[in-house]
Amino acid sequence: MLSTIWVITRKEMIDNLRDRRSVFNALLSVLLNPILYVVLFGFLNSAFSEQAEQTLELHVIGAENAPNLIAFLAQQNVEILPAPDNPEQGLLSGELDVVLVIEEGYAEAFTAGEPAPVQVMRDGSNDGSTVLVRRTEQLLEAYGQRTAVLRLLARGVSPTLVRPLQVAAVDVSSQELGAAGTLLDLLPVIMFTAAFLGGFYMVIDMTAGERERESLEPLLLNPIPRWMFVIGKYITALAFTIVATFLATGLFLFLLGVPFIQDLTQLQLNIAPGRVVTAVLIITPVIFMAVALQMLIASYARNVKEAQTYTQILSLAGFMPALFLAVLPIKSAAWMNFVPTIGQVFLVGQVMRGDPLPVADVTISVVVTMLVAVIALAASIRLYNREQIALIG
Amino acid sequence: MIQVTNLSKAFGSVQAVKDVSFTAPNGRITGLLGPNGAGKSTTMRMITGILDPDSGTAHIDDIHVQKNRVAAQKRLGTLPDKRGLYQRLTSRENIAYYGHLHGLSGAKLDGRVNYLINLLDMNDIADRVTEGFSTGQKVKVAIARSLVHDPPNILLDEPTMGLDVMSTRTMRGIIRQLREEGHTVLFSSHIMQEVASLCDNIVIIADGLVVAQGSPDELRKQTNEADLEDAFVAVIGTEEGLE
Repeated sequence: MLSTIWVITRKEMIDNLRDRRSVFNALLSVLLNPILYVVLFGFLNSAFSEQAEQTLELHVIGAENAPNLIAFLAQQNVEILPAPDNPEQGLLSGELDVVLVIEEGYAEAFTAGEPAPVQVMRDGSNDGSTVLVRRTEQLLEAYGQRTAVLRLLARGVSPTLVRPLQVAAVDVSSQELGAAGTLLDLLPVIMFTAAFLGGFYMVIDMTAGERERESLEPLLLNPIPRWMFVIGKYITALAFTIVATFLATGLFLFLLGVPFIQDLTQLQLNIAPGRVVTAVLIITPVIFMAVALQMLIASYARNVKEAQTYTQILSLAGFMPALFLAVLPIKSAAWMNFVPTIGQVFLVGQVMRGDPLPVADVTISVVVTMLVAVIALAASIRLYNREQIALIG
Repeated sequence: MIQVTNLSKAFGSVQAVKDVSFTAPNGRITGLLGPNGAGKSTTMRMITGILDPDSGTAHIDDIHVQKNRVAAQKRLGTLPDKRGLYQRLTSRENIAYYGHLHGLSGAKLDGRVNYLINLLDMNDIADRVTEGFSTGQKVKVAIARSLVHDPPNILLDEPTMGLDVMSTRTMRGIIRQLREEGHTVLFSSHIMQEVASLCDNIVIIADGLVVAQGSPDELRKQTNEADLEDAFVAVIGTEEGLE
């Protein structure tokens, strides 16, 4: 029995691996994802952190009205530049990110102890300026605080009187992962995408493709219980998909760990390898399920085209929820462990943060996911045992 | 021996096979003659266990096909209507795969594959991948893989369809040789001349029913026609769908 299944699996592997273009396409579609995510999120992060650290080039109108303020800003890593004649135009065209306007009445109001008017001009639709605007506002706030303290001291009043609260933020999460932690939330997305796309071509070729090329009926004339064909083909696609998924995961972690790329993205990944292995193991049942569902769908499809359409919809359903959960702040609930892919996202999140592994939740997630795989395989075998398998199309 | 008793099969409202009974005896060539759409392929697919009959039975060497499909298929070699190959495998690999599925391996399998490659005169294409093969080359590979386990019973569904004159002659030679070796051969055709020249035993099917069967002499006698092809037309009632 095992030797017969191995005959089928070996033939399918040789046959499919000779289809160089499909193998290449499958690996490309799977390996592009980690590169894409690291580049996208990495550069977003590096853009923000660079803006936060580099010298702030601040265009100022009316600098002569507030020499003390200007001196303060210059001490805070700000380069004061004269503003062009038409600052609105410069802001709208994106040439300028932020313009500080110190109005005519500033000196007079400041001396009189009244609020002195300044304006921070920006283009609200320019997302790239957000960090620079916030830095400008924070610096002005800091100057205001300092001035207030000096004024109170000059009048003999303790500055703490106007600070009735002392607010401290306490983070209770077990480990601070930083921005790289956000990127690690994408690990399930990368693995699911690979699980649902890695064996895609192969599954269709072995099922709907075999029927379309009219080699299925002659195959079924061989004196073998038909479940062996289903299992032999399944093992082939599963093996390839597992390899593709681990390659994509490996590439993702490698990209996060390379010093050159860390410099580029400003992301430091600091996580125990044991946690990554646990996370990968939690997600692995999804690969079994994805390939089994694809086989079922592609076996029922009338032709290759139809099989492609349906399995593509399945792929989207497979990894889109994880993508949403990675970027949206949704709280976990007990029922989610019963939903394959969604349960894994939260479990992996807990593992990555270093929380103790919830054994019951992991068990539910593994059992439910594998159960879906077994039911899908049983349904495929049932179809192969009926004459309908030769009549579709 | 292949034995078919009262087979019937409907697809939706279309009654493809109404009532078909016949026997293909050992060591003989039995021809299933009928116009296109008469129910030949459907009958063949019920004998091979691909389709389930609505009623009736098929037996291969007294093994009930529907009740014991795997055992029956072991004693049967089939060239079905659908005969797609694996295009990324060579002819030899295509044939050997079926050999493995029949439990053959090692020197025994190699010997059998080489024997068939010589028998079908396909040494020139044996180690080429089958993508781009001509119809004749494809049929040779398909025949070879169906005979790899040296089955006592052989079923050929329109084996000369799409072949050129030379390949057709080769195919007829092989069918005769299989009979000489003692195999039971059942083949279907809509070509009267082919059936007339090859068969020891003829079953004529029209519109899902067996309308006549017997040796060429018996058919001539039944219809009072001196020419066998005239006898076929007389039994079926029309030349439509025949060649």
